Amino acid sequence: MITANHSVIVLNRTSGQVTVEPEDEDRFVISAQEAVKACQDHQKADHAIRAFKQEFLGPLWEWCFLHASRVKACFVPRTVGHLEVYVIGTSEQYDFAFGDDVARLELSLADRGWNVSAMQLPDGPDEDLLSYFNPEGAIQVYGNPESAPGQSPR
Amino acid sequence: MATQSQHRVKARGNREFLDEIDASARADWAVVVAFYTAAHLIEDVRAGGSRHSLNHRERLDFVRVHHRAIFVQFQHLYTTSLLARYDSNAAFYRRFANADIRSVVIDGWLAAIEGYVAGLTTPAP
Repeated sequence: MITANHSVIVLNRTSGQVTVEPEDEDRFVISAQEAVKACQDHQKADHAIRAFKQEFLGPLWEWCFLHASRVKACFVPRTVGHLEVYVIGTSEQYDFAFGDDVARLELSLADRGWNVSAMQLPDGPDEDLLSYFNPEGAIQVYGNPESAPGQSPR
Repeated sequence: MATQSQHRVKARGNREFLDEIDASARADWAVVVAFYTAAHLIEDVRAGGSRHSLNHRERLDFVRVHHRAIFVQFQHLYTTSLLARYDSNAAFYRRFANADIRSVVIDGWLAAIEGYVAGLTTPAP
């Protein structure tokens, strides 16, 4: 079991607004700046981060909420060039029908102008998930924070 | 850069290999070959416009923008081939039932892409 000090950034969603835990705010800005730089270099950073929160992370959270029976967690790791969304399923088996939904999620986000890929990862031990993304600095859009790979219970 | 016909030959060779192997016995490799068969079919189409994909991401973008009808199937193949390549054997075989590889991955997703591309491209010389 991985016990490294990976620290994801946990989002909250209250009253229709995406918010970040105060202690995570500085790290969120760094991750979000990288994310929006990958997609919207021409925009001013503060506007781009606001748009990233409300127009990308918000709809992504809503999508996860609507598919809550099949979504254990959702992460947007720090990447260069384009955004990546990893949707961790509730099942250890690859869910074919849910994969259709994840592909349509990517289509929907891309249609809104986001340079993004979305991938279903069946649930599994940390070492399986860590083959696909680095949780260090990743934004956890949905799910219990303890479901992050390598994340110790708070 | 490979030509359109070279991509077509590569796709056909991959497909023949896929039909020869026991997909349920080597499900991980079957998924990988199915994906690369589809990838060469997409490159066949793209090469018809004298363009080539630089990487998987760019190819996915090309399919999403220009061939949306097969995006879901192609994205499935891409994702499952990643799982086949990077999962441990134990993890991969926990995630997929062997019987699904032929019926869903090959006869479903790959066949849909093959049918779509066949409707776009001219017969091979």
